[in-house]
Order: sequence, then structure tokens, then C-alpha cells
Amino acid sequence: MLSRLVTGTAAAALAVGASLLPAQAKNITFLIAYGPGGGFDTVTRKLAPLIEKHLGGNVNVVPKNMPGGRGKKAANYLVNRKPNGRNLLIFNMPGHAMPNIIGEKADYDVRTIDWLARAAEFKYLIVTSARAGKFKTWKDVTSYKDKIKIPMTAPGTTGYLATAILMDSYGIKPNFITGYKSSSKYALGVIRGDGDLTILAKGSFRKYITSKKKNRQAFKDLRPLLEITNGPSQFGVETTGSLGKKELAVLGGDRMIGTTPGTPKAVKEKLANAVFKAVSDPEFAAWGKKVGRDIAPLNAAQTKAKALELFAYYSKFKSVLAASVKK
Amino acid sequence: MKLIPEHRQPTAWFLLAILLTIVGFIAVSYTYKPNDRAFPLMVGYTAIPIILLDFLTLTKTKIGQKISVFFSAKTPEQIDQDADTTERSLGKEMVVFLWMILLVLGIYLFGFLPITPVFVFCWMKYRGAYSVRMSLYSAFCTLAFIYILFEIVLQYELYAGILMEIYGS
Amino acid sequence: MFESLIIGIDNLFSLNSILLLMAGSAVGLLFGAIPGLGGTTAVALMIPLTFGMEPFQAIILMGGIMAATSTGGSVSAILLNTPGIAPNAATTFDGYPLAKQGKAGMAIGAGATASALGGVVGIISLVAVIPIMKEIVLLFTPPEFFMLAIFGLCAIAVSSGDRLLQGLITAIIGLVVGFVGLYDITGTVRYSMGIPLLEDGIKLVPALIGLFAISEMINLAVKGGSIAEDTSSIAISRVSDGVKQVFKNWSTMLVGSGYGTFIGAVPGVGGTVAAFLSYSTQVQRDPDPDVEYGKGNIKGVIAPESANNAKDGGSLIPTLAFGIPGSAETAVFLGVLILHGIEPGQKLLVENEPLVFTLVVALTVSVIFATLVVLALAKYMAMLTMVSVNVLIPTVSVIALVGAYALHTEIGDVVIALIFAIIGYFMIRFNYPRVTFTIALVLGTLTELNFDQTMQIHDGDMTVFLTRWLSVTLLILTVLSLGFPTFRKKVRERNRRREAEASK
Repeated sequence: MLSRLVTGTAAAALAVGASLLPAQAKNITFLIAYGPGGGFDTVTRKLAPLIEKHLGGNVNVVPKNMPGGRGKKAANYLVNRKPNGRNLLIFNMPGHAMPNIIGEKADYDVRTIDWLARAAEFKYLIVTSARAGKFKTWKDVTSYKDKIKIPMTAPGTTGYLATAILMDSYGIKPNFITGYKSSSKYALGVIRGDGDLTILAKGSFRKYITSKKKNRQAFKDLRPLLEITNGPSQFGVETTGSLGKKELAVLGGDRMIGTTPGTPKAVKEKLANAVFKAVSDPEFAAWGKKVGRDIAPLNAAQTKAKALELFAYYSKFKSVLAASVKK
Repeated sequence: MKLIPEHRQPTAWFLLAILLTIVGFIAVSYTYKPNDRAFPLMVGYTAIPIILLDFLTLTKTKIGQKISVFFSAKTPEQIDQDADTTERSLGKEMVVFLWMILLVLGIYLFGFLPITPVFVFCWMKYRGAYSVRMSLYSAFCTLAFIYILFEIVLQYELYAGILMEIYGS
Repeated sequence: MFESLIIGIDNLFSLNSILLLMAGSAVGLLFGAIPGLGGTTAVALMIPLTFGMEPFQAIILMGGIMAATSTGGSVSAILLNTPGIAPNAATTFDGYPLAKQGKAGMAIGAGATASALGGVVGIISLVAVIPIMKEIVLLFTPPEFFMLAIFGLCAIAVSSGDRLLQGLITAIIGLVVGFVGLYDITGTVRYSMGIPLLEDGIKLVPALIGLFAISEMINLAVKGGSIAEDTSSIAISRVSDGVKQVFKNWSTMLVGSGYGTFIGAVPGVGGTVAAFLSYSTQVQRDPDPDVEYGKGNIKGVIAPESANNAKDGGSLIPTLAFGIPGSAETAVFLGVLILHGIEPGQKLLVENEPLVFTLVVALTVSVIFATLVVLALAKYMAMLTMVSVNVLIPTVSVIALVGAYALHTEIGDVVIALIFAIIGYFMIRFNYPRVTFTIALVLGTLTELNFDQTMQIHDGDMTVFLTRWLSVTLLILTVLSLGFPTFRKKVRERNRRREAEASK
């Protein structure tokens, strides 16, 4: 029995090895700017086989984690490759645009990336602790006189910037409690009462809802206060749109796929076509729905326009952003 | 350096290197804002008296003896006895360091795959006085292990050397 | 719950599942044993394989990997003084001296058995605390984290034995190294000397590979011979003796498992701290050991090994309670669940209870299976310590450097490993403990960060450390742990003096 198992395992390992061997020359590396396990990691890994499928032929799309410098390392790596379409990266917008906007050193410029498609987007929600929170509505927040404490990741991260811009527009001077490693860590910080409120992507918030019934959502741990949208609220709270702050609706994140600038037109078009088909694939959409990711496909031209639009939007807040980084 | 017995002098140099590192660390700390340097400075300034105390335990003085007994319940002489008595000449050590530095330099220039068999072969042949056949055999086995596990099964692209990075694909 | 357990067991006992579990354990053992790879990498690399599987099959494969890695890591910690994964670092302190004495077989046997039992205790605790796990996770806020880190740092005092002064110095170097890189509180990059690689800090694994594996190879090269200084006793030291030792020292194993479960449940602390605390507590509990700690006491292997396996169960507690990973491995594991369309968090427990129990059963069986494999092979693995250094040094050095590179595919990490190898060698040469360096490196930033967070949350009010019950409890434990050995020593000295007087 044991020997059969050993041979089985060995055979499986060899089979995996052999199946990968011949096609290696045609690999496309799908870079992941962050470590394994996070949001970018899962989206990339879900997309890789779909891009393979729509590219056809004998091409492997191999996901590769390259964390470092808050995502800068992978983006720098991408733009320093030969422009042959063999490397892809999901950019974190606006996070990846920050160095360009505030003039921090970076090899890449989000305005010159060869954009292929947008996979997903997310919008934010302001939440407070359902047990320990002292605010019941957003109005309580705006009329609160004391300092509002906001658990957050390090200064300069996407969530930090969005919160800074939002609070700035309401004239609230936030007191950030920094140093949490990820959004789920600072969410936990709010639940246990480290701070008063924080910002969360709507998709990540869903896991804190304990009841599925639409009108009677139970918020045992976290309760929403304000939704950043110009549309109707999904959670039955006030929205920035309804409060007349239409310009804030941009705040959020876009997951955009790009390749090395200067990629030959034919290669780029073929690639963009396949990537767009992959992000529009019903399988991807169904998966997104299941795990609470807002799949929002855009084609190459739309993605490029979106990137420029976001760049222009966040550039307006240069002073807020620079201040938050230099704190 | 009469204060410190000869057999303890290498340790003294080691401590001196640590002390200089800490002084440099403290100096760099002052280039940061108060929030960023408070904790590091506390650590840095704690280090200095501790290092000086340790320095004293190396000396042949009464106070050195007392400190040693206080912290370790042993006199410096007893610690000398406990110490590893292997003969270590600086020359011998430098040669080994050089081998390791050359290995890393080789990896940096030419990548893991070419350097692995070369290093294993050279070490076994020239340091271990093994036969050419035995050395070649081990070199090949190590290379095969690394290649199969990392490149094939795990699909890592092992570093191919800075020369490949510049002139290669 | 019981019904779900039955479904979980049922899921596992089909030929397909058992094969998957065994494959997972085998991969976990291998990845655990090769320094630099570890469970996180293993789980991440196996993701594509799971695409064609049912979710429960993916869970079985991943569970198999996660449960087996630290068992595999203990083998290289004992044989080569190289923690296969970071939580095995504490195992080297007594494991490697045992290997040097030719007792590698016994050490591996004890380590593997402690791993299995620790793992099972951790999993049982997980199941037991499911109803109250949220409260446990919420107990820890920054002041408590800070006190826990301080408690851990005090382990430095006990772990350095009669080299206290020197242990403090290496601990300070560890703290200094830990300061390098981005500081999450202020967003400032510190002490990077303008080197981009250092902006993210000096990574633990390449540093440990240099400090333990390669420095040891340099040391062997200077000294010559083989790892086992006394090859004659290899035949005498039996694997089964190691197994017996664990049952003989069951309290050590239980305390270690307790640490593992408890600390595993606190997100952001991790198995490395659990193993260190378990080790240092063991040293404190045993002030008059038959063999000095750090010189090959078998209990010094049992304590950390039971802790670092128990943490697998523990780290699933925050995962299930809030969808927050308790460790890097569980983070990737969560990613796998998401890829399979399963949303982690409380919903998982409510809606997919059978899947949770499949994982529980898979973890249990895998940790036992991995141990059996190690026990079966221990005798042969121990032979490695008899291999001549001139075969071992080049092969181990190269593989260790590949491991340092592989974790982040970053060539700079190889250079870091080399630098730490040379530092580590000098620490061996001048008898400066490396244990304390490692503890400080792991806990340094945790201490600073949580202190600063506490000050931010409580507006600079230091009294919070004294007004929160858990924080105070941890403080009292710290003071006791520092004072207790001295107290015992004093009592012993007095008794000895009395005896001496009586015999006059």
C-alpha cells in the first residue's frame, strides 16, 4: 500500500512537471504586486486560466507574486521588461498612481502604461463598530466635536488617502491610528473599539453581515454609516450623493490590467482582446458575485481613459495626499 | 591592549565593531522625526552601557571579574574554560568566507544553475580532496535536485545572473 | 456540529481524498524541510492544481500541507541547525546540540511526536472554543499586544543562560535589524541606506537562513569533521526513545500546545513567537535540568515543536470568527477558499459547517500522517549528521541560498543571507547567543508598533497598561517570569549552604 502511494505521489509530481515543461517558452507572466492570499492575488489567479482560454494556442499564463514597496516593485519591473506583451500586471488604482502624483520616485507612469482592460472596481463604505461605536448615523459624525479616531493602514495607502479626502471635504480633522497591516486588521480594530470608524470596500464589508435577508440585514460586528456612491444605498444608509457631495463618488479602487509600454500594436491588440474577453467571461462574473467582488469590465480604450481621469481627479488633492504621506 | 589577555582580544575587536555599528545607528536615528526615532534611540542608548560592561568582563581587572560573576555567575576564567577550544586562525576563516563570497558573487553574475555544480565540484575536489568522479557525481545530483524541484515542479525561474538580465531576453 | 463532523470524516475517507491528503502531507513535509520554502509557498503553488477539484478536496489538500510543514521544518532544524520555517527556529537551540551528540534520531522522534500531539491539541481546542472564539479574538487590543511582546522579549533573559550580557547585546542587534524598513505607523522608511531592497525591511527567512544554516556551514568548514561529533552513539540513540520522551514529559507538551493554540488565535503574532515563549517557559519551569538547556535537552525540542503545530488549529480561530487570517499560511488558504467561491468568515461556519469540519479532520489526520512518515524515515535522516562536511557544506549552502532566493524571488535576499552568515559565524565563534537575536528580531517591531498604536488610541495615556485586566495579567506574568528563576536560585543556594553546614 505504502509503496503504491509513494509511486502515486511521485508520478503526480512528475506529471505536473512534465506538463509544464514544453510550453515554458511561450509563458506570459501575470505579475501580482502583493503577497499571496490577498485580493489582488485571488483576482489574478482567477483570471490567469481565463486569459489562457481566450488567447488560445499553447500559451501559459503564470501568476507570480512580486510584493515590495507597496506595489511599486512589480510596476517598476513591468515597465523595465522588453515590450513584447509577455508580462501583465493588475494595477491598484489609485494606489499605483500616488508616486506619480506626489512626485515620488518611480520608474513607471500610470499615464503611459499600455492598458488592456479593467477587471473590477470597488467603492467604499464608512463603518463603525456595532457594539462599541458611539455613532448611529453619519450626522452624528459630522456634528461630533471631539477628535474622530480612525484605525488605518500606513499613511499613503489607498484607504488612508480616500479617508483623508472624504474627511477633508466634510471639514473633519481625522485622528488616524496607523500601523494596521491590512483592511481586515483595521476592521477588527474598529470592532474591538480601537477607534471610532473606518473605511472599507463594500465587498469586504459583506463578510460582516450575518443575515442574508435583504431588508433585515443584521450588523452584529460592523454597522455602515455612509456609502460613497451617487446611486441608491445597498445597505440602507445615507450616501455621499444624497448629501450633495457628488464629486466624492470617484473614491474607490480600480483593478486595471496593463502591460509594458511600447508593446507592438498587433501584440497589444491580440492581448487586449483576450484579456477583455476574460474579464467579461460569465464564469468570472459569476465568481465575483459569489465572493462579493464588483466585476466591472472595461476595454482597452475605456481603461486608458479611466486611468487618465483618475489621475486628473486625484491630482486635484495633491496637497491632501502629500500631507498624508509626509505626516 | 595589555589590559585584555591575548586570547580574548578577537572578542574585543568583535565588540568594538558592534559598538561602532550602534554609534552609527544612533547617528542615523537623529536624521528621523521624533516619532520615528524615539524607540530606536532608546534601544541604541541602552546598548552602549551594556557593551561597555561586556568589554570590562574581557579585561583582567577586579571590576571585570565582578561584572562577569554578577551576570553569569562565572568568572572570566571559567568562561574561557567553557568556550569552544577549536583552533581558529583568521587566515583559515578568511578562506572560507572567500569561498562563500565567491559563491554569492557567482550566483549574482551567472545565476544559480551554472554556479551550483561548479561550486559543489570545486569544494569537494579542492577542499575535500574527493575524486573527480565523486565530485562530479555530487555536483550533478545537487544540480538535478535544484533544477527538478525549483524550475520544473515549482515553476520558479531561478535567477539567471546579472549578465543575463542585461544582455539576455 | 456532530453531524458535520461525520460529514467531514466521510469526506475524507475515500481513496481519492486520502491520496490527496497524503500528497499534501508529503508536499508539506518537503516544503517545510527545505529552508525558505515553507507552507505559505506550498499552499500558493498548489492553487492551480485545485482548480479542477471540489472545494472539500481543495481543503483536504491544503489542510494536508499546512499541518505537515512545521513537522518537516523540525527535521532540518535538528539536523542542520536550520529552521525549515521560521517557527522552527526555537527547535534548533536544543535539537542541533542533540544531533551533534549523535542523538539526532531521538531528537527527530521527539520533535515529530510533539508535533503530532501538539497539532491534535490545537485542533481539539479549536473545536472546543468555536462558541466563544469571537470573544477570545477581541480580548487582544494594542496594549495587550504590547504586553505580550514584552513578555516575549523577557524570554531573552532566560534563553541566554550564563551569557546574559552577551545575549542582551545580540538582542539589541536583533532590534536594530528589525527597525530597518517601512514603519507602518508613520509611513517612513528607516535605516534603508537608500537600498530599495531594504525598504520593506530585512526579511526574517533569508536572515535566519544566513544566521543558522550558512553560518553553521562556515563553522563546520573551519572545524572539519561531521555534524555529529560523537558518531559512536548514533546507533544507540533510538527514534522510539524520542517518542517515549514526549509521553514522559507530557506536561511540557501540553504547556507548549497551550501556547501554540492561544497565540495562534491572536492575529499578527504567529507561530514563531509561540514557539519561543513555549521554549523559554520550559526553561523557567525547569530550573534544575538534568541537561543544561541549549546543550541538548530533549525538553527543549518538545516545547517549541508542540507549540508550533498547535498554532495551526489556533490560527483558524480568527479565520473562522472574522475571516481574518491568523497567519500567512491561513491568509493564502483564505485566498484558496475565495477562488473556490467560498466566502470566509462567520458565514462559512453557519452555512458551510461540514466544510469546516472536513478541514478539521484533514488537519488532524495529516499531522499524524506526517509524523508517522518522519518517524519511519528518522533513522535514515539522522545519517545525514555523519556525512563528511565536505559533501554537506557545498550542497547545503547552495540549496539554502536557493531557498533564501525563492521566497521572494529576490536576488538581494541571497546577499542578505551571506551577510547574516558572516555575522552568525562570529556569534558562534565568540559565543554570543543567536537565540536572543532571533527573539528580538521577531518581537522588536511588534513592540514598537503596538506601543505607538496604544498611545494613538489612548492619547498618550500610559496608565492603560495598568487598567486593562489582560494587560495587567501579562505584566504580572512578565515580572514573575523574571523574578521566579532568581528566587528559586536563591532558595537552592540557601539550601545548599545549610546542607554544607549540616555536613560539617
